[in-house]
Amino acid sequence: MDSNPNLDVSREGAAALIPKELIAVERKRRSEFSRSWKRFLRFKPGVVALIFLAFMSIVAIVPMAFEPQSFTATNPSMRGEGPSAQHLLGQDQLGRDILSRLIRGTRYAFIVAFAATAISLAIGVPVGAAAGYFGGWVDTILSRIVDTLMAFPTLVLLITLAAVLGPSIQTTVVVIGATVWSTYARVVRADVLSIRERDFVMAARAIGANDRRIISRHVLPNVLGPVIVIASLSVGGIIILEAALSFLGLGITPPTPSWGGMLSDGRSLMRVYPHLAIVPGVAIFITVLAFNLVGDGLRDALDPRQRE
Amino acid sequence: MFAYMVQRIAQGFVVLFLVTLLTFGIMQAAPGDPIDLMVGEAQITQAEFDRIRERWGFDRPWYEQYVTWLSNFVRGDLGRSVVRTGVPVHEMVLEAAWPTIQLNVLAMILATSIAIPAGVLAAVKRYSIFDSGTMIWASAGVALPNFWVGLMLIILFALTLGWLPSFGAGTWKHLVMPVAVLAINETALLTRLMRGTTLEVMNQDFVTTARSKGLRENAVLIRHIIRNAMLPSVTVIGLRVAFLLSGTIVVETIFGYPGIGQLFITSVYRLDYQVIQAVVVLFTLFVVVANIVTDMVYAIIDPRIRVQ
Repeated sequence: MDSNPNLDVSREGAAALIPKELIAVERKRRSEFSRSWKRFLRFKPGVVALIFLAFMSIVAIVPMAFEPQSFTATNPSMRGEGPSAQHLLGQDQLGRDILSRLIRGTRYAFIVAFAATAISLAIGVPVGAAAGYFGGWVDTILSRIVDTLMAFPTLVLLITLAAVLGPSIQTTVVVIGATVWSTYARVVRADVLSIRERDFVMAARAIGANDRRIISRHVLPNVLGPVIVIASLSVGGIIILEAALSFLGLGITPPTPSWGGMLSDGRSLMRVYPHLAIVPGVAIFITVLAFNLVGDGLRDALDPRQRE
Repeated sequence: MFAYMVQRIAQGFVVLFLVTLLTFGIMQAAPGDPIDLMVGEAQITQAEFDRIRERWGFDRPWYEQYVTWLSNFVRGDLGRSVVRTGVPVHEMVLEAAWPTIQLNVLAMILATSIAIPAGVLAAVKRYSIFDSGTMIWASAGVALPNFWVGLMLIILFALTLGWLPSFGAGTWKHLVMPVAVLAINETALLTRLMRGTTLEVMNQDFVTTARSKGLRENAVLIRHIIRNAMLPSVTVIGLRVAFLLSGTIVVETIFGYPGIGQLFITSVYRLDYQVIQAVVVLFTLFVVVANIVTDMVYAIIDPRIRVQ
């Protein structure tokens, strides 16, 4: 490693004007970030995927700007028509424009994916940090809860909860968020366990920092990398889970257009209109692939330990 | 080693206890009276209603119901289906278990027998066309939604070509598509893992030693590289049981395959709580046992763990 430029004697003059601590932190953060960013840019598939996802995010925010037709207008005389100049991907069993429904479905896929990820982060990171930092009986209790959640096949727990609570987009978000946080808790706990023994934590404690300050200023910033990597890799999984739930009729329910719901229509009508089942699956596949590739890139950039 | 096993098994029991408590709790939160579901459209008097309530034990407080249910469960009595009046749940589960076991075991065999050679070969021939091809396939395979692949296979092989039956069970032909679909994600995941660990092992000192003492390349590969690179895969196969069971639900539903997954989904649609409860607990029981067995197998084949 290079020697730390902040220890350079010639910089002492400048440091006298501004509190030294501030310069050090600012400098380090910026260079960390730009170094990680450069590493990320080296993984070309990840960069392409990131550009694609940026575009998809815009589609999710303002789908109306992209929909060529109304996504609700039915046309009984054009049921199950194949692609045409007006309807690029054809029409569904009610004569609705498939492309417009697919575009509107992007919004719901992204809403569920990001909201559920936010919920799981909000539960998983504090639980993992508390278990790893405090140890003892706190760790024992929290770890058994995490083990318990992890013992359920995710989809089984999701289906049960969705059936009991009644399917809706809110239920889908809450249920997925409340189920998948265990991964964050486990990883954060393991990382915090090792960070807690490091010298800089001991130093912080020696100058009288309390637990809260140590956790928020010294421990959590150091687990940020792995957490970002897992989050980006799990978004794709959440999109598939939501699609599976909606496909089974237990997630986003009609008439709201969702990719899984469109696949479900495609399934019941595959003998008559096989083209209905093809397009939504491609949308799910490409989006999930893009999230996974960005995740791979971020892992190389942020978490050198896990590099393949 | 013995103490470690005892500790793992004890943890397993704690987790299972929490699983039953959580599952039972979710079921208690379910809306609707199970008696209404049982009675359906039939007109009954309040006296008859109360009699049914008492007979099924719905009149007692939840903890009494829980204790009764748990002690019956431990003795192998899974209760009776409330919706399919009076059919013992354990009969329904036993009937559905064998097709599901068949499906999952075959899928796992298929996945490992493709993934291990493919991953090793990709690592040995790093940066070759085969390696890039394998890695592209592995990235794509993880992102493929299995329910969509299932539909595509049905449209192609059952509806268009007519080679395979689209649903049901009984002959080997019925197994081809469900096994293939269930194996896709696992194959992709394991190939990637196997390639990664093989690359790691190839750079270790003992491999260089084996080579420098004059061993033929094949002997180095089989006896030193593959044997060590397999270790992480063994763990992952064990830990993937939960994911495989999630996949089973979707795959069995799509192919109308009469296994536990389909039993679970039809019970969810009909709100047959006794069956849902039993299947959820059995699934998690299976996952917990699989995880413990994995840990032990790992401790047996990897001497480094045994010493700790």
